[in-house]
Amino acid sequence: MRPWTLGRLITWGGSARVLVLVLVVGGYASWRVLQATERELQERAKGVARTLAAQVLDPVLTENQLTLVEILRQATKTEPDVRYAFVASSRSRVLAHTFEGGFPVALLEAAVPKLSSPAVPGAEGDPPPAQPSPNSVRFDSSDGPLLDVAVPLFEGQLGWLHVGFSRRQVVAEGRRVTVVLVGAFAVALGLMLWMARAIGRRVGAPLAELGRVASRVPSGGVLPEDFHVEGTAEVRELAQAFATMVADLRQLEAEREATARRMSSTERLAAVGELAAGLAHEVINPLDGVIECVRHLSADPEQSERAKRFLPLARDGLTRIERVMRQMLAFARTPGPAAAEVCHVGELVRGVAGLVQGRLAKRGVELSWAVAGDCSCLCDRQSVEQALLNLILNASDAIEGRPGAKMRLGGQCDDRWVRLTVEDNGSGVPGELREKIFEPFFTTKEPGRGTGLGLTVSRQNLRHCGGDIVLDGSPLGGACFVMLLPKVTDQTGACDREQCPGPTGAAQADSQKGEER
Amino acid sequence: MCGRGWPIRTLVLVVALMVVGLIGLRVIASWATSEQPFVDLSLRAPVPRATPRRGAETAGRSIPKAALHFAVATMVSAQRTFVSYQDLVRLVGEEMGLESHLVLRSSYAQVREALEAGTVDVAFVCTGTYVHARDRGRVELLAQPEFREGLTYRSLLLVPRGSSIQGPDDLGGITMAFSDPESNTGCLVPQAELLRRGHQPTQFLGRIVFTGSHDRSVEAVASGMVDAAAVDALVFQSMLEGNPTLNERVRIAWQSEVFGPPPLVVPTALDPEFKRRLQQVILSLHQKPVARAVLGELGIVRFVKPREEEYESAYQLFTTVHSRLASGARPTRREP
Repeated sequence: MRPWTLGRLITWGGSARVLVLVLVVGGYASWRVLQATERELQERAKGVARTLAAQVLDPVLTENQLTLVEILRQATKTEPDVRYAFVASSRSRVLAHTFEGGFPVALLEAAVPKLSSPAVPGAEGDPPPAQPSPNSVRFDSSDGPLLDVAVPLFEGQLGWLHVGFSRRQVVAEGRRVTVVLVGAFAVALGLMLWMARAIGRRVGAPLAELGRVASRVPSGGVLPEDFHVEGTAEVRELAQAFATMVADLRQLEAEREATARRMSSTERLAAVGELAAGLAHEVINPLDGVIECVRHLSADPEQSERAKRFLPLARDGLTRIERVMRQMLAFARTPGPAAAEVCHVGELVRGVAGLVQGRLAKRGVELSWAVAGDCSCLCDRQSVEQALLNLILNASDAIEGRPGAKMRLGGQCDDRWVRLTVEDNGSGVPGELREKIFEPFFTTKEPGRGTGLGLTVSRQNLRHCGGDIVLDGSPLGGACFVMLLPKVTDQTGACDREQCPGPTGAAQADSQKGEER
Repeated sequence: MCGRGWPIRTLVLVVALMVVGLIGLRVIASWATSEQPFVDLSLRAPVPRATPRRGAETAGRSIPKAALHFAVATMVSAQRTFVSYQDLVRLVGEEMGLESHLVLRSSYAQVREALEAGTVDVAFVCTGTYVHARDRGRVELLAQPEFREGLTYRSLLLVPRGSSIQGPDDLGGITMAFSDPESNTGCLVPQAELLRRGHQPTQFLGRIVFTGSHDRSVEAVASGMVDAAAVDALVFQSMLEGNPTLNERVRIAWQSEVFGPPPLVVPTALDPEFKRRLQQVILSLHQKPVARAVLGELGIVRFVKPREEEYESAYQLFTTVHSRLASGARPTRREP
């Protein structure tokens, strides 16, 4: 079975309920109205009949037929609703009546149903019949609907006075009530249909339209504006929700495509990396021999002036080539299992600072360092020191030659992370380059001075041991690189992997923090 | 789909709707159009008249009777007469082994005519009715009542309590109520008394009203509708017992001598054997406790054999008045 539409449900379901309501309430009200009308007629009829009964007693007792008939006829003339009157003896013999040309035989049976052989003249030997119990009887007649009211004369010993009253008024009232009832139902039905139509137009049709537009979403080409429909507030809210959902879907789709493009680029870079590694490997071996040859030639005391002049140049160039090749190899190398060890933050900072202090001083850079707290991290010491050195040298390159060049190293801990910071008072990293600087082969240094692989390799190594490098702003005015490393909670160095957050999550969290700063 | 349920509910709803609708329409229709028996009032037939009662033509023959028709003159109103005498009539019928019918008529004359025609078997009549019928020889006495001590049958002249009328001589020009033209105490006696005192009733009295019964005459005086009324002392006594305050409104201005009480009479043509049995039953009624109670309600101790001589004074009164008025002005009936 197919579910009903909203309009159909309202039309049929509502109509059924309205019909039941109208029938129950209207039927009860009609019943009460008719009952009241009937009761009023009965009371009036009984009053008239009792008055008439008092008048006919003497004529009945004295068998004064003429007076009796005269009184009965007078009643039919003076009382507008009285259609007939007759007096029947206790044996159902009609003593007097107001009908012209004889008495309707069937009337006695209808008005006095318990008496079986009416209209037979009072045979003296008949057994006395039972007293008629009902004192009012309703029936239809050729003279319209009638109410026969019977009043006993001397408790029925003398017989009964029957007076017939017209019930046309009650029947007319009944018909009027029925017409009102039918009219009320028709009006209610009309209202229901009108309401169903309005709801269908304001709710049903817009919902169907939304359904049609929504069904086109998978095939594409649906814009949020397509969900604009006219309808009730609920329908509009639904349409708005659909539009928002489609807008979100479109954004997600765009992001997915961008991610796919990045994936493709990364794969290409990986292929280039593998190619470069192979090339570096092929170059380094003969290069080592060439460098050795140049060293031997340089060690010759009898070298010519030209040799003395060009051999150092050749050696420097070959050394640079070797350095680049080795960095390329390091970048392309698949990280092996990290040689994780517990490193004390203070030792790390102080060790590296001591290593570079003299060199930086020669370059005119003032170095300071500070370590807050006594904590340790789990890391590959060599990789971390290399990365820290890398950041220091990058900063030194950025501020070298500036008057008042300053650099500050820091070490702090929180509940989960150890933060190693390298700050300078240089010009910082422009916003558009904040992500690019971590990409391979990207460098802001002059050609020949940087390979563009230092930051990339450093981040790769830190991520391998559960940490990351993020860029932040420095209070000194320049850049502030933050190295995040998982904190060790005890000296044994046992780091529960579940307690150590993934590098990506940590990096994202802290990157966000850095940006906020 | 059906598992969802609501289509089944709708089906149930539709069925319920139809049932409720049918019931509702049925209820309304039963009130409005009323499925009631139909009576064709246009099919009419003459109403047969009652079986003619035994009349004079069947009189004297010994035909087994099916019912006893017992007439009572409406010395009080017809309704009071019916209430007072229905038990007595029923008892007599039972003793006779016959179904009994209490026959009432609107005037004493009609009762007398029924007796003379033989359409009633026995009648409790006014003394005046008996003396009216006596000369024609169609009616004879069957029994006469003996009233309890203190009750006497005589005529009373009743006037309102504040009236200045002290006796029949003061009735000149006033409105006088008589009960029935054939009533002894309610009509004959006062007329005879006026004649005896030298007053022609129709001329002496201002206006004569016939009320039809003694109780109505009493009520007419008590309510001030008439200035005086001649009533039966038995009836007045009975009314006083029922309503003692009556004395505060009326006063007895004059009372007649005692007459023979209203008798039980039968048509002379009645079957002698039936008459004998009837007399036997009536004379022995007082011996039965139930009947004694019924008689007591009427102030009657028992019925005794008639004493013709007790009705002689009333008869003389009747003949006197009849002859005097026949030559002069006999009071004509005037309705109240």
